[in-house]
Amino acid sequence: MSDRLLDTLRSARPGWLPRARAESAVGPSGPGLPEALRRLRARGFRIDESDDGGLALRGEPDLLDADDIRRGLHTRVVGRRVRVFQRVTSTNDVIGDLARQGEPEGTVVLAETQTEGRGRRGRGWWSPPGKGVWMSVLLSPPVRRGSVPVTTIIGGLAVSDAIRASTGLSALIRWPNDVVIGGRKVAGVLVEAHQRPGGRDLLLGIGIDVNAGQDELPPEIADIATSLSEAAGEPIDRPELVRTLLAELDRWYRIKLDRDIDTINEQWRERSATLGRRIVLEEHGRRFEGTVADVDVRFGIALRMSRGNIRHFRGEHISLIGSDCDG
Amino acid sequence: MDIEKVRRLLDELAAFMKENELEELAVDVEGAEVKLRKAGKKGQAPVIHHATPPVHTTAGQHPPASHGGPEPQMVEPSEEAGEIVTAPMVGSFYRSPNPEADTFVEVGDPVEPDQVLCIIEAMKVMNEIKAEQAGTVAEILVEDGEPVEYGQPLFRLTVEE
Repeated sequence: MSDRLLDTLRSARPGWLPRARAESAVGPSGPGLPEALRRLRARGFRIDESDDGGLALRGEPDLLDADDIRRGLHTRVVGRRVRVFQRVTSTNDVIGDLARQGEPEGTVVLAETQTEGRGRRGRGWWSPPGKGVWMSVLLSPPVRRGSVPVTTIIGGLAVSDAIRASTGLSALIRWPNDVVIGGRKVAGVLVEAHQRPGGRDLLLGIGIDVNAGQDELPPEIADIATSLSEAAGEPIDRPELVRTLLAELDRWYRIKLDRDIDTINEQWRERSATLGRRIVLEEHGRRFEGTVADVDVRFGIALRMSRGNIRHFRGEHISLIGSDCDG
Repeated sequence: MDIEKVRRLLDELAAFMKENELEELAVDVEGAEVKLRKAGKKGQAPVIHHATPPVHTTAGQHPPASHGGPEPQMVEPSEEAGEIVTAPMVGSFYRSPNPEADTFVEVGDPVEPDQVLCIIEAMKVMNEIKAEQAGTVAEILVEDGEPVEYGQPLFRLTVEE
Protein backbone atom coordinates (compact mmCIF):
# COMPACT_ATOMS: atom_id res chain seq x y z
CA MET A 1 0.00 0.00 0.00
CA SER A 2 2.54 2.58 1.12
CA ASP A 3 4.92 1.17 -1.53
CA ARG A 4 2.58 2.01 -4.41
CA LEU A 5 2.16 5.45 -2.93
CA LEU A 6 5.92 5.77 -2.71
CA ASP A 7 6.33 4.84 -6.38
CA THR A 8 3.75 7.45 -7.34
CA LEU A 9 5.35 10.10 -5.16
CA ARG A 10 8.72 9.37 -6.70
CA SER A 11 7.35 9.59 -10.23
CA ALA A 12 5.94 13.04 -9.47
CA ARG A 13 9.27 14.39 -8.23
CA PRO A 14 10.28 17.16 -8.09
CA GLY A 15 6.75 18.45 -8.50
CA TRP A 16 3.57 18.07 -6.49
CA LEU A 17 1.37 15.00 -6.65
CA PRO A 18 -2.36 15.86 -6.71
CA ARG A 19 -4.14 14.36 -3.73
CA ALA A 20 -6.58 12.45 -5.94
CA ARG A 21 -3.73 10.52 -7.56
CA ALA A 22 -2.28 9.76 -4.15
CA GLU A 23 -5.66 8.47 -3.04
CA SER A 24 -5.96 6.21 -6.05
CA ALA A 25 -2.42 4.89 -5.54
CA VAL A 26 -3.35 3.86 -2.02
CA GLY A 27 -6.63 2.35 -3.22
CA PRO A 28 -10.05 2.19 -1.64
CA SER A 29 -9.38 -0.82 0.59
CA GLY A 30 -7.11 -0.71 3.60
CA PRO A 31 -6.32 1.96 6.12
CA GLY A 32 -6.24 4.88 3.68
CA LEU A 33 -3.96 7.69 2.64
CA PRO A 34 -3.26 9.32 6.04
CA GLU A 35 -2.09 6.00 7.44
CA ALA A 36 0.06 5.30 4.35
CA LEU A 37 1.68 8.71 4.73
CA ARG A 38 2.25 8.12 8.43
CA ARG A 39 4.04 4.85 7.66
CA LEU A 40 6.25 6.39 5.01
CA ARG A 41 7.19 9.22 7.34
CA ALA A 42 7.90 6.72 10.08
CA ARG A 43 10.38 5.09 7.69
CA GLY A 44 12.14 8.40 7.25
CA PHE A 45 10.62 9.78 4.04
CA ARG A 46 10.04 13.52 4.14
CA ILE A 47 6.72 14.37 2.47
CA ASP A 48 5.33 17.90 2.24
CA GLU A 49 1.62 18.66 2.01
CA SER A 50 0.32 21.78 0.27
CA ASP A 51 -2.74 23.75 1.33
CA ASP A 52 -4.84 22.01 -1.31
CA GLY A 53 -3.70 18.56 -0.18
CA GLY A 54 -1.03 17.99 -2.81
CA LEU A 55 1.95 15.89 -1.81
CA ALA A 56 5.64 16.18 -2.61
CA LEU A 57 8.44 13.80 -1.75
CA ARG A 58 11.27 15.97 -0.43
CA GLY A 59 13.66 13.49 1.06
CA GLU A 60 14.41 9.81 1.11
CA PRO A 61 15.62 8.25 4.34
CA ASP A 62 19.26 7.47 4.53
CA LEU A 63 18.37 4.36 6.46
CA LEU A 64 18.49 1.05 4.69
CA ASP A 65 15.06 -0.51 4.36
CA ALA A 66 14.61 -4.12 3.31
CA ASP A 67 11.32 -3.56 1.48
CA ASP A 68 12.65 -0.52 -0.30
CA ILE A 69 15.80 -2.34 -1.40
CA ARG A 70 13.95 -5.38 -2.64
CA ARG A 71 11.44 -3.42 -4.64
CA GLY A 72 12.57 -2.99 -8.20
CA LEU A 73 15.19 -5.69 -7.76
CA HIS A 74 15.05 -8.28 -10.53
CA THR A 75 17.71 -10.71 -9.46
CA ARG A 76 17.61 -14.47 -9.71
CA VAL A 77 19.52 -15.48 -6.61
CA VAL A 78 21.12 -12.58 -4.76
CA GLY A 79 18.60 -10.66 -2.66
CA ARG A 80 15.77 -13.19 -2.68
CA ARG A 81 15.54 -12.18 0.95
CA VAL A 82 16.93 -8.98 2.38
CA ARG A 83 17.30 -8.49 6.12
CA VAL A 84 18.39 -5.20 7.61
CA PHE A 85 19.69 -4.90 11.17
CA GLN A 86 20.56 -1.75 13.07
CA ARG A 87 23.55 -3.16 14.89
CA VAL A 88 25.27 -6.53 14.69
CA THR A 89 28.66 -7.93 15.67
CA SER A 90 29.37 -8.66 12.04
CA THR A 91 27.06 -9.36 9.12
CA ASN A 92 29.07 -12.51 8.38
CA ASP A 93 28.27 -13.75 11.91
CA VAL A 94 24.56 -13.19 11.29
CA ILE A 95 24.50 -14.84 7.88
CA GLY A 96 26.56 -17.76 9.24
CA ASP A 97 23.98 -18.31 11.98
CA LEU A 98 21.17 -18.09 9.43
CA ALA A 99 22.95 -20.59 7.18
CA ARG A 100 23.22 -23.07 10.04
CA GLN A 101 19.47 -22.74 10.53
CA GLY A 102 18.83 -23.63 6.90
CA GLU A 103 18.53 -20.20 5.32
CA PRO A 104 18.29 -20.53 1.53
CA GLU A 105 20.93 -19.27 -0.87
CA GLY A 106 20.73 -15.63 -1.89
CA THR A 107 19.79 -14.07 1.45
CA VAL A 108 21.39 -10.69 2.07
CA VAL A 109 22.11 -9.30 5.52
CA LEU A 110 22.78 -5.58 5.90
CA ALA A 111 23.57 -3.67 9.06
CA GLU A 112 23.70 0.04 9.80
CA THR A 113 26.70 -0.64 11.97
CA GLN A 114 28.96 -3.52 13.00
CA THR A 115 30.51 -3.66 16.43
CA GLU A 116 33.03 -6.32 15.42
CA GLY A 117 33.30 -5.89 11.67
CA ARG A 118 36.27 -7.84 10.44
CA GLY A 119 38.73 -7.99 7.64
CA ARG A 120 41.25 -10.67 6.88
CA ARG A 121 42.79 -12.67 9.74
CA GLY A 122 41.07 -10.86 12.56
CA ARG A 123 41.82 -7.36 11.39
CA GLY A 124 39.03 -5.03 12.34
CA TRP A 125 36.79 -3.36 9.82
CA TRP A 126 35.64 0.15 10.68
CA SER A 127 31.85 0.20 10.24
CA PRO A 128 30.39 3.50 11.48
CA PRO A 129 26.58 3.78 11.75
CA GLY A 130 24.80 4.84 8.59
CA LYS A 131 27.95 5.65 6.67
CA GLY A 132 28.58 2.54 4.68
CA VAL A 133 27.33 -0.65 3.14
CA TRP A 134 28.12 -3.46 5.58
CA MET A 135 26.71 -6.55 3.97
CA SER A 136 26.91 -10.31 3.67
CA VAL A 137 25.40 -12.62 1.09
CA LEU A 138 24.82 -16.34 1.45
CA LEU A 139 25.85 -18.33 -1.62
CA SER A 140 25.86 -22.10 -2.00
CA PRO A 141 27.35 -22.91 -5.39
CA PRO A 142 27.92 -26.55 -6.28
CA VAL A 143 31.26 -27.72 -4.94
CA ARG A 144 33.83 -28.33 -7.64
CA ARG A 145 37.03 -29.84 -6.38
CA GLY A 146 40.14 -27.95 -7.28
CA SER A 147 38.30 -25.11 -8.94
CA VAL A 148 39.75 -21.62 -8.76
CA PRO A 149 38.39 -19.64 -5.81
CA VAL A 150 36.70 -16.81 -7.71
CA THR A 151 34.06 -15.77 -5.20
CA THR A 152 36.19 -12.96 -3.81
CA ILE A 153 37.06 -11.96 -7.38
CA ILE A 154 33.42 -11.64 -8.47
CA GLY A 155 32.72 -9.77 -5.23
CA GLY A 156 35.35 -7.19 -6.16
CA LEU A 157 34.06 -6.98 -9.73
CA ALA A 158 30.46 -6.46 -8.59
CA VAL A 159 31.51 -3.72 -6.16
CA SER A 160 33.53 -2.00 -8.89
CA ASP A 161 30.60 -2.19 -11.32
CA ALA A 162 28.10 -0.95 -8.77
CA ILE A 163 30.28 2.03 -7.82
CA ARG A 164 30.70 2.92 -11.47
CA ALA A 165 26.97 2.63 -12.18
CA SER A 166 25.87 4.56 -9.08
CA THR A 167 28.49 7.29 -8.96
CA GLY A 168 30.32 7.32 -12.28
CA LEU A 169 33.58 6.85 -10.39
CA SER A 170 36.18 4.53 -11.82
CA ALA A 171 36.90 1.95 -9.15
CA LEU A 172 39.82 -0.37 -9.80
CA ILE A 173 40.72 -3.66 -8.17
CA ARG A 174 43.94 -4.09 -6.27
CA TRP A 175 45.05 -7.67 -6.28
CA PRO A 176 43.19 -9.73 -5.46
CA ASN A 177 40.00 -7.95 -4.40
CA ASP A 178 40.41 -4.59 -2.70
CA VAL A 179 38.46 -1.89 -4.50
CA VAL A 180 40.38 1.36 -4.82
CA ILE A 181 39.69 4.83 -6.15
CA GLY A 182 42.68 7.03 -6.82
CA GLY A 183 44.88 4.54 -5.03
CA ARG A 184 42.84 4.61 -1.83
CA LYS A 185 40.80 1.68 -0.63
CA VAL A 186 37.03 2.21 -0.57
CA ALA A 187 35.83 -1.37 -0.24
CA GLY A 188 36.93 -4.81 0.80
CA VAL A 189 35.66 -8.32 0.20
CA LEU A 190 36.07 -11.30 2.48
CA VAL A 191 34.66 -14.79 2.00
CA GLU A 192 34.25 -17.45 4.66
CA ALA A 193 33.51 -20.97 3.46
CA HIS A 194 31.64 -23.30 5.78
CA GLN A 195 31.26 -26.97 5.03
CA ARG A 196 27.93 -28.49 5.79
CA PRO A 197 26.42 -31.91 5.07
CA GLY A 198 25.91 -32.16 1.33
CA GLY A 199 27.67 -28.98 0.37
CA ARG A 200 29.28 -25.78 1.35
CA ASP A 201 28.11 -22.28 2.22
CA LEU A 202 30.02 -19.24 1.12
CA LEU A 203 29.55 -16.17 3.28
CA LEU A 204 30.44 -13.29 0.99
CA GLY A 205 31.15 -10.22 3.10
CA ILE A 206 31.42 -6.77 1.55
CA GLY A 207 32.26 -3.48 3.21
CA ILE A 208 32.05 -0.18 1.33
CA ASP A 209 32.93 3.19 2.86
CA VAL A 210 30.16 5.32 1.40
CA ASN A 211 29.42 8.59 3.17
CA ALA A 212 32.11 9.01 5.80
CA GLY A 213 34.09 12.23 5.64
CA GLN A 214 37.84 11.95 5.18
CA ASP A 215 38.29 13.58 8.61
CA GLU A 216 36.11 10.90 10.20
CA LEU A 217 38.36 8.03 9.14
CA PRO A 218 40.34 6.41 11.95
CA PRO A 219 44.00 7.54 11.88
CA GLU A 220 45.30 4.07 10.99
CA ILE A 221 43.47 4.09 7.67
CA ALA A 222 43.19 7.81 6.98
CA ASP A 223 46.15 7.79 4.58
CA ILE A 224 45.21 4.66 2.68
CA ALA A 225 41.42 4.76 2.54
CA THR A 226 38.66 7.07 1.40
CA SER A 227 34.91 7.01 0.92
CA LEU A 228 32.71 7.25 -2.15
CA SER A 229 31.31 10.62 -1.07
CA GLU A 230 34.82 12.03 -0.67
CA ALA A 231 35.80 10.73 -4.09
CA ALA A 232 32.58 11.93 -5.75
CA GLY A 233 32.36 15.24 -3.90
CA GLU A 234 28.74 14.64 -2.93
CA PRO A 235 26.69 12.34 -0.70
CA ILE A 236 25.86 8.95 -2.18
CA ASP A 237 22.39 7.37 -2.11
CA ARG A 238 23.09 4.19 -0.12
CA PRO A 239 19.83 2.30 -0.89
CA GLU A 240 20.39 2.89 -4.60
CA LEU A 241 23.99 1.72 -4.31
CA VAL A 242 22.87 -1.44 -2.50
CA ARG A 243 20.25 -2.23 -5.14
CA THR A 244 22.80 -1.80 -7.90
CA LEU A 245 25.32 -3.91 -6.00
CA LEU A 246 22.85 -6.77 -5.53
CA ALA A 247 22.02 -6.71 -9.23
CA GLU A 248 25.73 -6.77 -10.16
CA LEU A 249 26.47 -9.55 -7.69
CA ASP A 250 23.64 -11.59 -9.13
CA ARG A 251 24.97 -11.07 -12.65
CA TRP A 252 28.53 -12.01 -11.70
CA TYR A 253 27.35 -15.00 -9.69
CA ARG A 254 25.55 -16.24 -12.80
CA ILE A 255 28.79 -15.86 -14.76
CA LYS A 256 30.60 -17.87 -12.10
CA LEU A 257 27.96 -20.62 -12.17
CA ASP A 258 28.32 -20.72 -15.96
CA ARG A 259 32.05 -21.27 -15.35
CA ASP A 260 32.85 -18.41 -17.66
CA ILE A 261 36.27 -17.91 -16.15
CA ASP A 262 37.49 -16.07 -19.26
CA THR A 263 35.00 -13.26 -18.78
CA ILE A 264 35.84 -13.01 -15.09
CA ASN A 265 39.53 -13.01 -15.87
CA GLU A 266 39.31 -10.42 -18.65
CA GLN A 267 37.22 -8.00 -16.62
CA TRP A 268 39.40 -8.45 -13.58
CA ARG A 269 42.55 -7.80 -15.58
CA GLU A 270 40.98 -4.80 -17.32
CA ARG A 271 40.19 -3.21 -13.98
CA SER A 272 43.39 -4.21 -12.26
CA ALA A 273 45.12 -1.51 -10.24
CA THR A 274 48.07 -3.88 -9.96
CA LEU A 275 48.85 -4.70 -13.58
CA GLY A 276 51.89 -2.82 -14.83
CA ARG A 277 52.83 -1.62 -11.34
CA ARG A 278 56.08 -2.15 -9.59
CA ILE A 279 55.29 -4.23 -6.52
CA VAL A 280 56.80 -6.18 -3.69
CA LEU A 281 55.15 -9.46 -2.90
CA GLU A 282 55.81 -12.16 -0.39
CA GLU A 283 55.75 -15.87 -1.09
CA HIS A 284 56.61 -18.43 1.58
CA GLY A 285 58.28 -15.73 3.64
CA ARG A 286 60.50 -14.49 0.79
CA ARG A 287 60.07 -11.11 -0.80
CA PHE A 288 60.25 -10.43 -4.51
CA GLU A 289 60.21 -7.12 -6.31
CA GLY A 290 59.28 -6.59 -9.90
CA THR A 291 56.85 -5.13 -12.40
CA VAL A 292 53.54 -6.91 -12.80
CA ALA A 293 53.49 -8.28 -16.36
CA ASP A 294 50.20 -10.11 -15.97
CA VAL A 295 47.50 -10.94 -13.47
CA ASP A 296 45.42 -14.04 -13.97
CA VAL A 297 42.71 -15.52 -11.76
CA ARG A 298 44.00 -19.02 -12.54
CA PHE A 299 47.75 -18.54 -12.68
CA GLY A 300 48.37 -15.71 -10.25
CA ILE A 301 50.85 -12.92 -10.86
CA ALA A 302 53.56 -12.83 -13.50
CA LEU A 303 56.35 -10.57 -12.29
CA ARG A 304 59.07 -9.15 -14.53
CA MET A 305 62.17 -9.35 -12.40
CA SER A 306 65.13 -6.98 -12.53
CA ARG A 307 67.04 -9.35 -14.82
CA GLY A 308 64.17 -9.15 -17.28
CA ASN A 309 62.95 -12.66 -16.76
CA ILE A 310 59.34 -13.43 -15.88
CA ARG A 311 58.61 -15.23 -12.67
CA HIS A 312 55.21 -16.68 -11.83
CA PHE A 313 53.61 -16.64 -8.42
CA ARG A 314 50.51 -18.61 -7.64
CA GLY A 315 47.75 -16.47 -6.23
CA GLU A 316 46.97 -18.72 -3.30
CA HIS A 317 50.44 -18.39 -1.80
CA ILE A 318 51.35 -14.76 -2.09
CA SER A 319 50.55 -11.55 -0.36
CA LEU A 320 51.11 -8.09 -1.72
CA ILE A 321 53.45 -6.06 0.46
CA GLY A 322 53.69 -2.83 -1.41
CA SER A 323 53.20 -1.03 -4.67
CA ASP A 324 54.74 2.06 -6.21
CA CYS A 325 51.37 3.70 -6.66
CA ASP A 326 48.07 2.45 -7.83
CA GLY A 327 44.55 3.39 -8.71
CA MET B 1 43.88 -19.11 -27.10
CA ASP B 2 45.46 -17.36 -30.04
CA ILE B 3 48.89 -18.19 -31.41
CA GLU B 4 50.49 -15.13 -29.87
CA LYS B 5 49.24 -16.13 -26.45
CA VAL B 6 50.50 -19.66 -26.93
CA ARG B 7 53.90 -18.37 -27.95
CA ARG B 8 54.04 -16.09 -24.93
CA LEU B 9 52.98 -18.91 -22.64
CA LEU B 10 55.66 -21.19 -24.07
CA ASP B 11 58.30 -18.51 -23.62
CA GLU B 12 57.29 -18.03 -20.04
CA LEU B 13 57.19 -21.74 -19.35
CA ALA B 14 60.65 -22.15 -20.85
CA ALA B 15 62.00 -19.39 -18.62
CA PHE B 16 60.24 -20.89 -15.64
CA MET B 17 61.72 -24.34 -16.32
CA LYS B 18 65.18 -22.90 -16.70
CA GLU B 19 64.91 -20.89 -13.55
CA ASN B 20 63.73 -23.87 -11.55
CA GLU B 21 66.03 -26.39 -13.26
CA LEU B 22 63.17 -28.46 -14.54
CA GLU B 23 63.51 -30.99 -17.30
CA GLU B 24 59.91 -32.00 -17.57
CA LEU B 25 56.76 -30.01 -17.32
CA ALA B 26 53.20 -30.88 -18.28
CA VAL B 27 50.38 -28.36 -18.28
CA ASP B 28 46.69 -29.03 -18.71
CA VAL B 29 45.07 -25.63 -18.59
CA GLU B 30 41.44 -26.67 -18.66
CA GLY B 31 41.89 -29.29 -15.99
CA ALA B 32 44.31 -26.94 -14.18
CA GLU B 33 46.84 -29.76 -13.90
CA VAL B 34 50.56 -29.07 -13.82
CA LYS B 35 53.28 -31.67 -13.53
CA LEU B 36 56.88 -30.71 -12.94
CA ARG B 37 60.00 -32.78 -12.61
CA LYS B 38 63.29 -31.53 -11.29
CA ALA B 39 66.43 -32.30 -13.28
CA GLY B 40 68.43 -35.27 -12.07
CA LYS B 41 65.62 -36.75 -10.03
CA LYS B 42 64.57 -39.47 -12.47
CA GLY B 43 63.10 -42.52 -10.94
CA GLN B 44 61.72 -40.58 -8.04
CA ALA B 45 58.12 -39.72 -7.79
CA PRO B 46 57.46 -36.62 -9.84
CA VAL B 47 56.70 -33.41 -8.06
CA ILE B 48 53.03 -33.04 -8.64
CA HIS B 49 50.67 -30.15 -8.26
CA HIS B 50 47.23 -31.18 -9.14
CA ALA B 51 43.62 -30.95 -8.16
CA THR B 52 43.16 -33.72 -5.65
CA PRO B 53 39.83 -34.27 -3.98
CA PRO B 54 39.94 -33.63 -0.23
CA VAL B 55 40.50 -37.25 0.55
CA HIS B 56 40.86 -38.51 4.05
CA THR B 57 43.39 -41.23 3.48
CA THR B 58 44.62 -43.76 5.94
CA ALA B 59 48.07 -43.34 7.38
CA GLY B 60 50.73 -44.89 5.21
CA GLN B 61 48.51 -44.75 2.14
CA HIS B 62 48.58 -41.06 1.49
CA PRO B 63 49.73 -40.11 -1.97
CA PRO B 64 53.27 -38.90 -2.50
CA ALA B 65 51.90 -35.41 -2.50
CA SER B 66 54.66 -32.92 -2.67
CA HIS B 67 55.31 -29.33 -3.46
CA GLY B 68 57.18 -27.24 -5.92
CA GLY B 69 60.29 -25.38 -4.95
CA PRO B 70 62.32 -25.68 -1.82
CA GLU B 71 60.29 -23.29 0.28
CA PRO B 72 57.63 -25.06 2.30
CA GLN B 73 58.69 -27.77 4.64
CA MET B 74 56.29 -30.66 4.67
CA VAL B 75 56.12 -32.88 7.68
CA GLU B 76 55.36 -36.48 6.84
CA PRO B 77 52.91 -38.06 9.21
CA SER B 78 54.35 -40.86 11.26
CA GLU B 79 53.50 -44.35 10.13
CA GLU B 80 51.02 -44.91 12.87
CA ALA B 81 47.39 -45.83 12.68
CA GLY B 82 44.84 -43.11 12.27
CA GLU B 83 43.07 -40.96 9.80
CA ILE B 84 45.00 -38.36 7.87
CA VAL B 85 43.16 -35.16 7.15
CA THR B 86 44.55 -33.65 3.96
CA ALA B 87 44.27 -30.22 2.42
CA PRO B 88 41.35 -30.01 -0.04
CA MET B 89 42.89 -26.95 -1.69
CA VAL B 90 45.99 -24.87 -2.10
CA GLY B 91 46.40 -22.05 0.33
CA SER B 92 47.71 -20.86 3.68
CA PHE B 93 47.11 -22.98 6.78
CA TYR B 94 45.82 -21.30 9.92
CA ARG B 95 45.26 -22.98 13.25
CA SER B 96 43.07 -20.23 14.72
CA PRO B 97 40.28 -17.99 13.40
CA ASN B 98 42.54 -14.98 13.90
CA PRO B 99 45.99 -14.33 15.37
CA GLU B 100 44.61 -13.36 18.78
CA ALA B 101 42.19 -16.25 19.11
CA ASP B 102 42.76 -19.70 20.58
CA THR B 103 43.70 -22.51 18.23
CA PHE B 104 40.88 -24.68 16.96
CA VAL B 105 42.56 -27.86 18.21
CA GLU B 106 45.73 -29.01 19.95
CA VAL B 107 47.37 -32.42 20.03
CA GLY B 108 45.43 -34.62 22.43
CA ASP B 109 42.12 -32.84 21.91
CA PRO B 110 39.10 -35.00 21.17
CA VAL B 111 37.24 -33.93 18.04
CA GLU B 112 33.69 -34.51 16.91
CA PRO B 113 32.47 -34.90 13.35
CA ASP B 114 32.07 -31.46 11.75
CA GLN B 115 34.34 -29.83 14.29
CA VAL B 116 36.55 -27.17 12.70
CA LEU B 117 40.22 -28.18 12.71
CA CYS B 118 41.80 -25.31 10.81
CA ILE B 119 41.30 -22.66 8.15
CA ILE B 120 42.91 -22.68 4.73
CA GLU B 121 42.96 -19.28 3.06
CA ALA B 122 43.04 -19.14 -0.71
CA MET B 123 42.62 -15.82 -2.53
CA LYS B 124 41.01 -14.35 0.61
CA VAL B 125 38.50 -17.18 0.86
CA MET B 126 38.69 -18.55 4.38
CA ASN B 127 37.88 -22.25 4.15
CA GLU B 128 37.02 -24.06 7.35
CA ILE B 129 38.35 -27.60 7.33
CA LYS B 130 36.34 -29.97 9.50
CA ALA B 131 36.80 -33.43 10.95
CA GLU B 132 34.79 -36.09 9.19
CA GLN B 133 34.65 -38.45 12.13
CA ALA B 134 35.21 -38.46 15.85
CA GLY B 135 38.72 -39.06 17.10
CA THR B 136 41.65 -37.51 18.88
CA VAL B 137 44.23 -35.17 17.39
CA ALA B 138 47.44 -37.20 17.32
CA GLU B 139 49.64 -35.00 15.16
CA ILE B 140 49.48 -31.55 13.62
CA LEU B 141 51.62 -31.71 10.51
CA VAL B 142 51.76 -28.08 9.36
CA GLU B 143 52.88 -24.93 11.14
CA ASP B 144 50.49 -22.03 11.55
CA GLY B 145 50.63 -19.69 8.57
CA GLU B 146 52.46 -22.15 6.31
CA PRO B 147 51.46 -22.69 2.67
CA VAL B 148 49.86 -26.03 1.89
CA GLU B 149 49.32 -27.93 -1.34
CA TYR B 150 46.44 -30.04 -2.59
CA GLY B 151 46.32 -33.31 -0.74
CA GLN B 152 49.00 -32.35 1.75
CA PRO B 153 48.55 -34.11 5.12
CA LEU B 154 47.46 -31.62 7.79
CA PHE B 155 46.41 -33.68 10.80
CA ARG B 156 46.60 -37.25 11.98
CA LEU B 157 43.62 -38.27 14.04
CA THR B 158 43.45 -41.47 16.04
CA VAL B 159 40.06 -42.96 15.53
CA GLU B 160 38.38 -45.43 17.80
CA GLU B 161 37.50 -48.58 15.94
